[in-house]
Amino acid sequence: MKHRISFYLTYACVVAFGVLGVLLLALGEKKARASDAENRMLSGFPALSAQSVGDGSFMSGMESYLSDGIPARERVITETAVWMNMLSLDRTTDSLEDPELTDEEGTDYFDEEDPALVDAENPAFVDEEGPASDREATAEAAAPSESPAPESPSGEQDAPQTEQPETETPSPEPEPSASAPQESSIEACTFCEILPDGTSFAIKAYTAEEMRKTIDVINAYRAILPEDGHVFFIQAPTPKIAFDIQNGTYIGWESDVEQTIAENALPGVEVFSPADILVPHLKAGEDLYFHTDHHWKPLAACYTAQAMLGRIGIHAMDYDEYTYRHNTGFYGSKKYTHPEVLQTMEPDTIDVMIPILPVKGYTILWTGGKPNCQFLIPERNNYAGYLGGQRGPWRCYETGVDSGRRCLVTGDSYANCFLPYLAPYYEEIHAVDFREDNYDGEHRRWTVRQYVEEHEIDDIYIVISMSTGISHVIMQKLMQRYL
Amino acid sequence: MVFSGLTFLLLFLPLLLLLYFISGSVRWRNAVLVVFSLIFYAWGEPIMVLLLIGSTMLHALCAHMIVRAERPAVKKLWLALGVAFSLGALFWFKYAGFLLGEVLGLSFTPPKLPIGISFYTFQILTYTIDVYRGKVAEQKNPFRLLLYVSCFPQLIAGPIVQYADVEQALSSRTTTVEDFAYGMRRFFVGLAKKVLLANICGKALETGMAVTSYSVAGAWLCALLYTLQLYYDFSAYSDMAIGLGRVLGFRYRENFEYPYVSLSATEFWRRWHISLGTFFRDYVYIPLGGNRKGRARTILNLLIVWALTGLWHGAAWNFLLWGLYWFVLLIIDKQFSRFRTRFPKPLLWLGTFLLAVIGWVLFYHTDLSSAGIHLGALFGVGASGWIDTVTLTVLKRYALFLPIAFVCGMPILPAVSGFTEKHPAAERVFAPLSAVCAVLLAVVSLLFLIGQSFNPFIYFRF
Repeated sequence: MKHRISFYLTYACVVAFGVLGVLLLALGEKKARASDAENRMLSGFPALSAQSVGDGSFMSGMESYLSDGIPARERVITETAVWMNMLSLDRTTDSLEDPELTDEEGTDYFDEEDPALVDAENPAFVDEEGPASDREATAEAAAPSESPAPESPSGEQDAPQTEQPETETPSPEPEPSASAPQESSIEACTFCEILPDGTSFAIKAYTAEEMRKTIDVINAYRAILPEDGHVFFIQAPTPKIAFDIQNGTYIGWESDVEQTIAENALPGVEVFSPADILVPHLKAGEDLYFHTDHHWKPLAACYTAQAMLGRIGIHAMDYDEYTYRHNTGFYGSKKYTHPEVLQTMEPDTIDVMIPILPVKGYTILWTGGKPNCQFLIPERNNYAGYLGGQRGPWRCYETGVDSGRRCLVTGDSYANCFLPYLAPYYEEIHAVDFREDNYDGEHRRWTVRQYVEEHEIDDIYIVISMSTGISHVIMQKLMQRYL
Repeated sequence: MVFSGLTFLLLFLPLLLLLYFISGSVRWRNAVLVVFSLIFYAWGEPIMVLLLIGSTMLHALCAHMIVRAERPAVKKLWLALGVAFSLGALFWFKYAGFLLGEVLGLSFTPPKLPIGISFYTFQILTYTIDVYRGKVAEQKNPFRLLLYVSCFPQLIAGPIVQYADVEQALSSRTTTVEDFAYGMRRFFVGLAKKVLLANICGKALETGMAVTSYSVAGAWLCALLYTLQLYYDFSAYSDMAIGLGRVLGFRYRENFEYPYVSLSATEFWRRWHISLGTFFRDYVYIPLGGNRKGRARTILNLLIVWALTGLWHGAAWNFLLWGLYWFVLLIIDKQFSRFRTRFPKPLLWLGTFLLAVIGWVLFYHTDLSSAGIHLGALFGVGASGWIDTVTLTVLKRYALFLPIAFVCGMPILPAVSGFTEKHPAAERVFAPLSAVCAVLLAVVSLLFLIGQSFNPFIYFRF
């Protein structure tokens, strides 16, 4: 009897699993569609062909299809995250109550910076930008400065007058021998906002060790490119920092991060100051960031692309020279962290460019498969309109332009919005996002070096937001690890 | 395909069991099982299935010729052919890159490693060698031999099933209600170990490793997390394999016996990856002479076995060092075993556990410099301090999970089973209750799987 009960229970479970599988196959949505909550495309039914079976893309596509097709998927993910949270002592409120991360008026920086950290109930964003500890470490190091700093239009010419955090002991990790800069020349750096009275307020601090590793990584990436290749690097501020300029809380930015990197970089490395590129436009009242989302707008990305391309003598197209579809009613990630924005804030308008030439995008699998992936989706009214919200795997966008040059864009989701503005100047644009959870074991079979060599990449663009930042594991470890 | 994938759980397994149990005779059941096993293997690597089939057929031929041959030299020749082919293929796919690239410094792009080759190569070798030894009869039906090699529960990540263990079951087997219930319970428990323990340990480890330099606490925490992840990952696969085997009428030997309760290095290896240890004992150590040829020869034999054990896990220096690390520990253990009784058991347990943890650091880092940095940090050498914010975050975030994960590695279930066997009244409650728990674990695991993407088993790469 006792075995019969056990038998019936386990048998029923297997049958239930089978029924669920059959229902998913029969009734599941067959087309790929965007998930607002996860800010990515959910998989459709994989294309069945001899090639897709041969290269394994059908099989991996089937797994994604089943996973993405589960009814109430978002609810399930939320609930499992809540269960996990019950085993944790790390509560959401710990982060929100951290005085280092809120300004005098109590407005939390996380609003725009990183919803993942405040959103335990929105697992779609959990850990998107990396471990909270990175932020905590930065916050610990950041402190308001007593000494005034001269106002600077560009915000970067003068070294910040903030108290520098103590230099950590050098890491014993091995360094790329060809590119390692003189350690003594690298010091801790800060990114500061300048108050109207000239006082600077350090909101990001990077240790000498973090700076050294960042420079090593950038140099190592430069070293794998051809002689005439370039590495372009920018760390873009997050919306809160930008809005501080526009609402007059601060009058500028100053940072020695870019200067330090540039001074220690190999020839061919081009470092860009967001203060130079964006502050004049912000002061002119231009809308460079979404209000309900944690990303920059394509206008900011376009200015950045223009500056970068200009450095190698290309006069890039202006933002208005492209055609856009303006999608209204966009409530971004903030609606998950602060649902009240649906009542209290106007939705954003998201402009998705209509490509000048048709672009063919595909994911590059190590098995040789090339399943299609999205470039721009004008009908999307969220950030997934840019590259379909794709993250992780190696992707290639064939632009149809005969320029003879190819580039690789890496970084975080800020790069998704940026990449389309390179399309008129490169015949192939490759993209990869190394962040954990996105760049998993399936894709690690390629090193960046192998990939760059195989695909004859000329230039590399590293575009990251400050919420990911150079102290994040992506710059500190992953980019080196996967090199 | 992986056991912890939705394709397997929602489509493959239910369909297989449906077709398997409506097939009345063993012959039809074997046919269903062979077809599904080949699909299971080919799912993701269709081409490599040809190597599996070709290797099996070659060994069928070798075994046949061994039986037919009258002269011992000819028998030996056919055995050598089979062994050379399988080990040659294993060497080419797994070790050529290491030897040519790492050791000889030549430019060589290694071929892609066929999944599970280390496991099925050893399995097929047990068949041919045992036929040669006269321990088992020749399997005249090559499809049964193919079923033995390709049988999906143990195909990709073990346990390494010796032919002699399943010889009878290939031609005659039944599944009782008890077998089905036990097998599925075991499978569900394995699934939960993988999804709810191993994967979460892996996630914590990934966060913990995201530091620019280790603190002492961070180095220990990462080592401990990997210790738990590896055990739960691999033993979960073994649980699932043994469970599915039972459902399909096969009885596989246990592969893990709660290794982290061991009181010595020798005991640890009697409890960890038992099928691999048994293989090396039966097919390498004893043929080399075992401990029958004097002390020096015994030590040499052990050195060979542990170097091979290390290299079996991967073609890298760290695996070789890891094997030699255990060789040294086992030699010391044997030399000083008589003093063991003088130490209290908790101290012996702690020492053995810490030695295992340190060993896994070598196992984790495939480059020696990283391993050296990590090992140094364990003892404060080159560490960035006693503790760092990342470690504190991991400790906080997984504060309740970590003790649970640790306790789950202790033999609690066997203790409960032992108790209920002595108390029939308790068993009447325990049996259905364990089924309810197993089903609940299966459902929760499925829910967790929905939010997880790629989650392969660690031992797949071996």
